[in-house]
Amino acid sequence: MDKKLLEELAKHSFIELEEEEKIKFLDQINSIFADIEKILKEVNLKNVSDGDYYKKYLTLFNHDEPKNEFRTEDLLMNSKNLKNNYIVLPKIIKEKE
Amino acid sequence: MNVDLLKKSFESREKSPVNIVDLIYEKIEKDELNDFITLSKNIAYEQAYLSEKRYEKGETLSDLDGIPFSLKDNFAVKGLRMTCGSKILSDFVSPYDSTVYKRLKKAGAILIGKNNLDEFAMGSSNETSYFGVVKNPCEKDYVPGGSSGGSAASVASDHSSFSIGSDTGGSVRQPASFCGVVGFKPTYGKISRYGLVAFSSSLDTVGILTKNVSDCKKVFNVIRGIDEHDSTVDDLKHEKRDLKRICYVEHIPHTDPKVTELYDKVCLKLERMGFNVEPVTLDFIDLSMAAYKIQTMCEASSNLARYDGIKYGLQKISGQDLFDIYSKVRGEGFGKEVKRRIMTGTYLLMYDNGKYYSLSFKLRDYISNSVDKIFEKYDMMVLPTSLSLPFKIGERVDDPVRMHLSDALTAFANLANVPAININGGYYEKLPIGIQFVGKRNDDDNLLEWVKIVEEEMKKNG
Amino acid sequence: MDDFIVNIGVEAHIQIKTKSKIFCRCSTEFTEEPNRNVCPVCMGMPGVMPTLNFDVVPLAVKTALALNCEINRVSGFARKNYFYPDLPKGYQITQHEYPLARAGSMKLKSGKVVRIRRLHLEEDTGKMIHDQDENSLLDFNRAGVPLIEIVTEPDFNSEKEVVEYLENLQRIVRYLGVSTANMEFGELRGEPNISLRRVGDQNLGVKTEIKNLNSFRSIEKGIVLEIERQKNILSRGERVVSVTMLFDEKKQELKPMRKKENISEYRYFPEPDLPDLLLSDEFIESIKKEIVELPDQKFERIQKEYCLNSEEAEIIVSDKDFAEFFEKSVKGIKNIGRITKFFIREIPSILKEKKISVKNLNFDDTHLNKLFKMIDEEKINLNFAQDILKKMSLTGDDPENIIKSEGENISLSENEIEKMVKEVLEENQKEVQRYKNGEEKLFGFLVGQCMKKAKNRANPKLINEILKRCLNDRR
Ligand SMILES: [Mg+2]
Ligand SMILES: [Zn+2]
Repeated sequence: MDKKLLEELAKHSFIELEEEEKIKFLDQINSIFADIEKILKEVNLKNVSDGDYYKKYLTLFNHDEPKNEFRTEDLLMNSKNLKNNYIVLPKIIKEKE
Repeated sequence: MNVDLLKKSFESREKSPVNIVDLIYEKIEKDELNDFITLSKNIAYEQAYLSEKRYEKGETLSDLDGIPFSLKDNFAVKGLRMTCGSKILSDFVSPYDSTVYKRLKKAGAILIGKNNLDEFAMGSSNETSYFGVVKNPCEKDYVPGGSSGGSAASVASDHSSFSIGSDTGGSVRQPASFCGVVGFKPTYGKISRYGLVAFSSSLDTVGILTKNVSDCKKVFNVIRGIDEHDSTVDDLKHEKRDLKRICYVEHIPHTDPKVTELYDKVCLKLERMGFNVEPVTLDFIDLSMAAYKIQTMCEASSNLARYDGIKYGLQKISGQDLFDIYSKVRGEGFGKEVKRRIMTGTYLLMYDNGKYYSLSFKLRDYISNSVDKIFEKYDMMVLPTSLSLPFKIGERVDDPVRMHLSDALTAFANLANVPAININGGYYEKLPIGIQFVGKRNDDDNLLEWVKIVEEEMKKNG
Repeated sequence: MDDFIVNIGVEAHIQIKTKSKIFCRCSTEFTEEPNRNVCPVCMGMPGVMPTLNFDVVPLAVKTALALNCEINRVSGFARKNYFYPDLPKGYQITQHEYPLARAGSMKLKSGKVVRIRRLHLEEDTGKMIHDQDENSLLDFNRAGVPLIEIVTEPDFNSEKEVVEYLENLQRIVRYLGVSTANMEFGELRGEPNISLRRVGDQNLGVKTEIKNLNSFRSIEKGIVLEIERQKNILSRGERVVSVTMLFDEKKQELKPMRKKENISEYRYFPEPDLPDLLLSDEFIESIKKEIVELPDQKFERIQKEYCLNSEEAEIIVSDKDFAEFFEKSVKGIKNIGRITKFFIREIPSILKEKKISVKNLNFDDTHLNKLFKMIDEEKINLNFAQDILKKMSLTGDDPENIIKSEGENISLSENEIEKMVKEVLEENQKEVQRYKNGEEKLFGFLVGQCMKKAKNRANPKLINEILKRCLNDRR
């Protein structure tokens, strides 16, 4: 991974990075990849049968009975800008279309 | 501060839940460990008062009635701030209760407050919290371990009788080892995760930190069990049986000699107790590090996508366009460790359409099969909880690779989804060294029973 | 312009008509208040987990079976990761690698069979509206509403076929009671993706997708515009770029959507909080039995059984309850031909006027059956029956009571008719005489006089007979 790819990745993860963060992350991420690649080479993963560590099938089924337990105010109490119970998006300078 | 003693003192009126709460809040202030982000004083005093009334009438709700506890600050409590140790949620107030808290409240336990933690439970030294570092009660300029550092510190320093944490790769057992308390990670799916902020959903497990194993069993039995909010919970169990065959790990690389020395002593003691103790070799420690990194980072990149500054948490008002505002909020709201993991996870999922992520499931199959093979012959495995003793605050901050090594002996239990518990093995000077006991999948109750016996035996003759 | 082969595939989203959302317990009932039917789960609060509302599964399986799909015994939920304000969790829970059903088909009128690639369950997003002063407002009432997504192979070659497919789909899901599927409320959304290739080229050209088509008309218009646009590009020798086009309803124009929104990389992975969905054979069999007669089968049967022409059959079959109401009301009626028009004109206009569906008419099929029997047995004539029907739609009363209670227009008994006919003959002796002298057509005049006097209270056949008899007696 080079710096350009890192910046592309930051855009995709929607994280704005300062310059010094970019440099530090670059080598940390590269070393993690090197680490993973090395380990993956050492093991032969052909014909490894399914482990039964994971939860097989869904058993919890709800029936179609609505339950409105929450008040709108409780759910919106953390939203900073509201307008009669709508959440207002920050003003964006370039309107989308 | 353990549950039985407290209960007896309440029943005999020697002490009341309210004075215990007073003592605790005084001690928290005095100790200055920074192990709490939010103290829930009005909840605590209200619940203590009600509990006191129940004791007077002799109608207690459960074994945990009146018992003070704390929650890692990634568990939701209605009306209380939940920060996950992050700037991005520093003013977020939860509108709902987690299932764990609901059940503890119903049992009459008293919530003291929300413990400090590594940001979004990512870390193993509790040094990445936006609310500052937590100090190890045994040795103040050492780390308490992480990511449930605050929980371990609060139990060790009697700021709470027990604490609920989350264990994704060792985040309950490792801090328990560093602070010298009991840290239990049950089989995945025994305790509901509803209300536990997700880090890596397929590995996150609700964990319990207590003074001793018998308290741990009491708490486990109150909070376990099927929950209408979590489709991954089951109540599978094994028949009660006696402990016969134990295995220990013969050669563990990178281990601190002081840890190995204590570990050998414990194995000897187990033999003297009459158990058959035999060596095994683990060939999947490195594998589990790779699988753990890939799975947690991929899932974390998705689980933390909801923090966009729109509905709650840190909010930015203006920006070039919507996506620019997202990036600013997350750039400023997340700490370095979290940002690095989110980006690596996004890349792993994007690269060659998620080849690494599907590969990590193959790794988990490999590890799970190897662990299951061991437990076909043995009932329990004993090994150190951490390769190293607690280290000084700041000593390893800029060393992510070595930092990961601190999960080396714990992550495989999450990946293979088997229960594991840390108890204190002894001390090197003032620093505690934890010993980890791992059981078969769904064998949580037997494991707790056996480790209780071992714990009592070790307490008897030093 | 050189000619091109047009290939169109369609992604349809259909809102399932359950009472509660798919992954939480919130109601799906329409409400004016924003953020009313929401909870921490569908608002994507930290620490929440999805749980499946199982009642969406039989409805989806029914739809899949009606489209001749194969049901996957095991299907899995996955996360579709992308950023948008109306997506609370930052990902949508959908099905990716293991959908609920696959490999279905639908036959169009032309006989062409369109292949359906897959059908899967997923959750709807919230809604974003813009107010006067350019604010974007978020409402999560719709977030988490259950959806069925149906993806076809690019087998359509014209916009007409696409519209026919979507109309059939709409009727099928209404028939099965899966959805009301009104496009104007966004309960049925069609997104065509279009690619052109020169005659003789084997593989498909670059495809573009059109969004924001809220009616059959706009779908047709959107496709036509896009085909035109691509034709111009290709004819100029340039290459078509794969982009998502947004249809502007007001300007009836297509505009390319900004690149950033249509992020192609969704980083799918299995949803760790929802284990796989296992469906047993018995469960699928039980649903197969439940499936009611489908629109095209009913169309053919009714057209044959009641000898209707295709327009009539089309109207009757357009709504399941209406078709049932028709069949029950015409039970035991010999001469169906005369009464079908009630179902083509009178009853639909009552329904439209009162803006109600057949189910909440205040009279039921047994009442209607009585009325039709009376027509069949010539007790009342058609326009009299229309009056009774109007009264029935107002009072909901039984036709027999209406006739009894209406007094003056109760139908006359035979001898009353005879008395009346004799009066008419008395009053028109000149015409009777002329008829007797051979002017046959005067008989029609006399019949008219009798009808006027009877004021719909007598059966025309009866009047004729009695008039003839009386005239012969007077000879
Ligand atoms: Mg979709
Ligand atoms: Zn909801």
